[in-house]
Amino acid sequence: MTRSQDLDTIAPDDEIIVSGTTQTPKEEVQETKEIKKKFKKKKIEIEEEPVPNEEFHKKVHDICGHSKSSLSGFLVHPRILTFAEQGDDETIYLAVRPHWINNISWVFIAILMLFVPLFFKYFSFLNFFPGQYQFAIILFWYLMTFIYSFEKFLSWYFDLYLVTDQRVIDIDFNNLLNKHFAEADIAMVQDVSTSIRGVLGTFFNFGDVLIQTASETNQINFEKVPNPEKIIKLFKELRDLEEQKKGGENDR
Amino acid sequence: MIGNIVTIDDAGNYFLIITKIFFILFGLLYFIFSLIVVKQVGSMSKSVTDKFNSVLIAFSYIHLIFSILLILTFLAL
Repeated sequence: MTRSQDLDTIAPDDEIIVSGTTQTPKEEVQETKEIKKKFKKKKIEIEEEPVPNEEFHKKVHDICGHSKSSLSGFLVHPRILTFAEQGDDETIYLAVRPHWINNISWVFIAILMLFVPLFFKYFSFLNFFPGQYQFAIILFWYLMTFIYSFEKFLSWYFDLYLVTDQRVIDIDFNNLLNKHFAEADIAMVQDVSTSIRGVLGTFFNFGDVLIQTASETNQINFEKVPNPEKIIKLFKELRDLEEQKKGGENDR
Repeated sequence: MIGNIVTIDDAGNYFLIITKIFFILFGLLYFIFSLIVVKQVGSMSKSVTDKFNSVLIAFSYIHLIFSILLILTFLAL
């Protein structure tokens, strides 16, 4: 019989009796630590379990490769790029712009425009204006050249076609003032076709990808985008994934 | 001007004055246009966010500053 039972009080050096077994406070602390460790391990194991989406992300990279520059026309799984209409749980798999070679025409015109003042000076076209006027005209011309190039660059840069885990999106800004936004659910995508045309298209591997949908937006056309065959492959994978999801839901 | 006769020099001066007024008006319109560009680049950047957008916004503001300089240059003619 322990002393505490006699005195109806617990002395600090008394042994604690738990359902027939005796445990000191130190042993109890050790046991709780072990339980905590086990729980932590389990938690880590749960975290380390592969998420189904991760596998698909890898697949996307296998199909489309990797891209580093945000100025690229073919951005695979861009983590920095977001758009205003994006859902909280929506992931962008692919962001494409028209191939950079399509910018050559305006770059060439801009370079020609840079030399126009020299041409005027050589042929003395501005000589009937005083010196200050000539300077002002040349300054104005260079600003026009800049804004022409800038506007063309913006039109290309913000002409985006996005493939997310939920939708296909076409974002386009025409002449800086008009925004065009079209979207279709991945589940609504019916047919995807490509056409590569011309010498440049064949040489630089870019073309149109036409996506027929069953939604209100009948079709979304990815114009002059690089690697059309990779985009088609991605759509095939996305549709397969969508079918798997549907199959899973039906089984339940 | 000699009496009521307009000399070639006067005609040249009138031409320059008219040109200056035309330049200033054009400069003002260009300034308004550059303001629209700043606004548009801002809204485009909000619509599609990317790390390169800050460079584009900076360019639009530089363009705005140059359009102000252009008006000042036209005024100083």
